[in-house]
Amino acid sequence: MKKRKKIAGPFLYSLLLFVLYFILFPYETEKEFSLKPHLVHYLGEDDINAGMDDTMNDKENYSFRVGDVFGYMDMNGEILYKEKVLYNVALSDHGFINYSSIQNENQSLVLMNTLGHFRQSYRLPGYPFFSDYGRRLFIIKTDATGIREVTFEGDETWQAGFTSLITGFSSNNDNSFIGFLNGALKIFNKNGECTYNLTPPGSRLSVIYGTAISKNSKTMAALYGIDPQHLLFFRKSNVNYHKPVYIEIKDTLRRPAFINFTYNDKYLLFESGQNLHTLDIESLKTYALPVQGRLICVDTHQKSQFIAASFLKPDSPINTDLFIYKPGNLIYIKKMCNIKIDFLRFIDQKLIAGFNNIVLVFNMREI
Amino acid sequence: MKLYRYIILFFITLICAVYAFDWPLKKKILLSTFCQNNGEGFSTGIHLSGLDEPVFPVAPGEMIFSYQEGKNHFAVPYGLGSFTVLWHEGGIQSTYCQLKTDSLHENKIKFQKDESLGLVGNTGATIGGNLRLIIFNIEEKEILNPIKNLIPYFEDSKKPVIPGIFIKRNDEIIQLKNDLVIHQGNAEILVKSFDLREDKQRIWEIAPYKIVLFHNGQRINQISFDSLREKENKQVLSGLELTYSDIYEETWLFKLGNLDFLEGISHIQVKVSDFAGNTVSEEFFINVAKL
Repeated sequence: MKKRKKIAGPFLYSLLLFVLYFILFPYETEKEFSLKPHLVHYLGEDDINAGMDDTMNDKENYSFRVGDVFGYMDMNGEILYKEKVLYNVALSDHGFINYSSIQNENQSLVLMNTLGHFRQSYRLPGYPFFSDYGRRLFIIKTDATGIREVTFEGDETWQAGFTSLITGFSSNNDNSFIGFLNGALKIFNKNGECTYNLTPPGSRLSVIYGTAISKNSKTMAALYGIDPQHLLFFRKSNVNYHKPVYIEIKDTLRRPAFINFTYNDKYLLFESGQNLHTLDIESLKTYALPVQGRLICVDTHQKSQFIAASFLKPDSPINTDLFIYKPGNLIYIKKMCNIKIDFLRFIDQKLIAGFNNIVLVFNMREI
Repeated sequence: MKLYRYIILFFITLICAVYAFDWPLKKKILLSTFCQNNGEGFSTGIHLSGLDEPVFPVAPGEMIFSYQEGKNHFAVPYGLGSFTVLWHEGGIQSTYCQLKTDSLHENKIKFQKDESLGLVGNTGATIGGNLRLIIFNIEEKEILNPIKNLIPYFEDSKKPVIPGIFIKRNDEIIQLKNDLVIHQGNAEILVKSFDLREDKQRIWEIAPYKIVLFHNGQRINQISFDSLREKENKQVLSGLELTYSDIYEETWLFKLGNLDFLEGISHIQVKVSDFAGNTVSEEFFINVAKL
């Protein structure tokens, strides 16, 4: 009997200390992330254009494009408008221009609002595209050696012509950062004046594969060069451009590359042959997410740091790898899918995924 | 000494043979020419007819850029369709456009003259099968006319035509004819002209290479489409520094500058040449009357 008491005492003390340890020094487990299907839309041709309601407000609508169908949905993921792509579509959350492959002086580019109503027409040749989150509209010459900016009121603000192909373009409210096949980089202000000109050195062959400019115009980046390929990164304070930083990239791309700042401008995302990189703008620390295949779509969450990306696996027309992660390579979801996910977009606490003429709306939850 | 010269000559010939530029297609049918008015500016390349035929490099080169229509989601919208760019010795970049998607060899880097880059397609801003070839000279910062600068031109028996010469005053356009009476003073000269596609019986216009204006026997102006360069972020014709709108009034109507017409007889002559050197001339004697 006495023996049993001697054993029970230390055991109880140990148990008490164990409990106290967990109360006083709790161990934080990783946050849980879940995606729950909320809505599914089939983008059949039967009801293309259906769902239009003239009374609805078209200001808070969100664009999507899945295969050759594009349209708009509201915050809850309900589809408001959809239309089949002609040859290509310039698409933003403020409106769209659906256009055919032949664009000359006899054709008009017609800007419609998010419910498919007429806004403006442009009797200008070339292919249109939106930039700066849909706030600016550009028309590029079909041979990509010239560009012009037009307003939503139909006026041309500036135009420029070059002796090389445009291979990278990014703009914010004030500036347009353009890269060229001949390795040159130019920054144009809102009046079309060239304010910065650089041909980055250090590679055997100079070619620009992508450019990015932050919303506040303080940070610019470009992917360029062959042997080796580089990430060029530079800052601007007031009117002065700082000395660029060159980061060597190990795997080389010889096609247009994705490069863009996250919505909050804290990180730069860019692809190389076998990685999707995240560069911390402050520390210049880079995280490489190893991937296989070609990046199809990518989106970053406006408030949280979530990044969603899908990659088409090599030698497969449909199999994609889906990643949902945060900078620092905190991977929440990594899934191989037997479908070609060609659209991903965060809308508040929802993730929209598009594939095979289907739009799937997920409710996102992080605990 | 003689042997030494022959050896040097042999190596020069050998280098020229290896690096000489050649046509990218075996069948040579020119659909449009360099600097032709394509409705949105100067045409920066030439178009060659074809479909599903293999495209060969104009010279040995290294693939530096490749774009596949529908597969590159982060590029600006290109009207060039699927295209590939080769880098050559001497800072020359050759661009092959409107190729058939999936026919491009994205992972092949080095190309010899007999290795196909892909197939002629109809991708991008085109309504039929064709190959658009654009040549960039990186060192001189120019877009080159491939025919005049690099590739030997083929047989062309058809002369260009001049359907009319016009004077423009205060937005009024008058076609010139012999014994026409005009008032003295300044007027702009416009010339309607085009070359004819060799393989077609019906009229298929392509842009000529050179237009020269003479007034009373004196050469006044000359436009020749050799290369484009950049001036204040605008494409201009090298040497003349003229923009697209400085040259084109309409698709086949060229602006040849202004003339001061003095009282008396004025002799206006225009000579138009194509890329093969075929030349046509048109001239008029007009009466210039005092105001």
